Amino acid sequence: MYVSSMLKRLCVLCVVLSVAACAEVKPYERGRLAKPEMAWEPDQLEASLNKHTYFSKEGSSGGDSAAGGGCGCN
Amino acid sequence: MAKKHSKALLTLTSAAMMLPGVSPQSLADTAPDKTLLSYRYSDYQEDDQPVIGGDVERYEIDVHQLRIQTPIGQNYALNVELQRELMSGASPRLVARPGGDANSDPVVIMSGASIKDERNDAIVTARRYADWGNAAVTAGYSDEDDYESVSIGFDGAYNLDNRLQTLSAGFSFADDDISPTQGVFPPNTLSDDKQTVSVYGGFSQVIDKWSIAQVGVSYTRHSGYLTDPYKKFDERPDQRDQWTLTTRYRHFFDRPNASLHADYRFYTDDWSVISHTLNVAWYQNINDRLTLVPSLRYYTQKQAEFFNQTDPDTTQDRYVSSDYRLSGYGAWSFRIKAIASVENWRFILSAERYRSDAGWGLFNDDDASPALVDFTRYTLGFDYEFD
Repeated sequence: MYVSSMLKRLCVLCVVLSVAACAEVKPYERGRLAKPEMAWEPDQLEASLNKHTYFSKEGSSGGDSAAGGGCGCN
Repeated sequence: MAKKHSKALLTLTSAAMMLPGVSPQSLADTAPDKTLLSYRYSDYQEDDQPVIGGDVERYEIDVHQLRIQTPIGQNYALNVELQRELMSGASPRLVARPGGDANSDPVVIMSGASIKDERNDAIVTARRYADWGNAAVTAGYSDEDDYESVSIGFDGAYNLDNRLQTLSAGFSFADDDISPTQGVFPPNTLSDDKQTVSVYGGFSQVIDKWSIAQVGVSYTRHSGYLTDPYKKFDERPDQRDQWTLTTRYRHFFDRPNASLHADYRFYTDDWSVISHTLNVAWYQNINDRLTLVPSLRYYTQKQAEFFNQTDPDTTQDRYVSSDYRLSGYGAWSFRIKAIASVENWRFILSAERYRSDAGWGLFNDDDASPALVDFTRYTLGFDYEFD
């Protein structure tokens, strides 16, 4: 049930992304996209600590990459 | 003439592709050409709250993080992250109604005296970069008094359509040993273990000169001892299957010289927990040296099907948990961060305030936990880049 709901959402997102992806951007036009603040995770250590903190204190986790190791956090 | 034009354009394009800064940061990039050394210190403090027994102070944690990323040859990079946490405080053990009165508000009973513990964590990643993308292997080790975790992972990214699209995938496996310490109350187990397998797949697309988006799915299976060893009335299934769907969007605005980050995650699992997470950040460049980053995060989750904090019937219910992390609630987090750049140095200062409340949730769960956590976190640190 939840997997089918996820697949539907994924299909909608893929369609939106494909439709949006109509502009051709030459390599020399990608200066803005290359700025450090445009990275998925501009600060790797901050991202690691956020992931660890929310994993420890909330009932759900994951999604940014494969899950990795755990901790005995209470 | 047209041929000359296209040849000139091709040359320009090829030259532009060779510049490390022109490949989108969010796509599979080229190998770093400098060594990056980073350090962060964070002070994490949970708010105290009214309790009946045990220590009233919840966790305070000092976190030290060190990272070094260095190129090895032209096509490889090594990334090492070390983390050390020094913890003190107590955690909720159970929730009860005073005097057994069904009409009274439930209160928190803590896990006895304040404990002191430390956790050390090391993650090492070796990554290879190529024209087609990159691939990496990661090994992790984490150790604390009552818990040990060993993990290994692989991930990769493959560029398509002249680096306008990237396919990414990852796999990880973790083997954890649990050996609870003996305290005021006996733990639920003396020694146990659990395993975690996780896979991830993603697709990113350059939308135009200003924006890029990504969509990803992940599946994680935890198996083994998933019960909290320190909580009374806690017996959980020995398997948990988790699914996530994530989207991320980055947009650069020329006029304010700023970029918008918008991330959303949908989560569901076979314990009936569903959650939505929305994170929005604004990277405002004040000038060449200073960037301010306010960000807002909203999180809401539906309670687990066996969450029952005050009236567990251990003879009837196969599974039960009073863990506030499995209750239904919502949480807001506001963060402000300043980044100052001076030559090869970057200095970072940030503060976060996190508050949660059963009334802020979207799922109308009727069993509000009084043990929900509020916390404040301050971070300071630096990055230093050198040849």
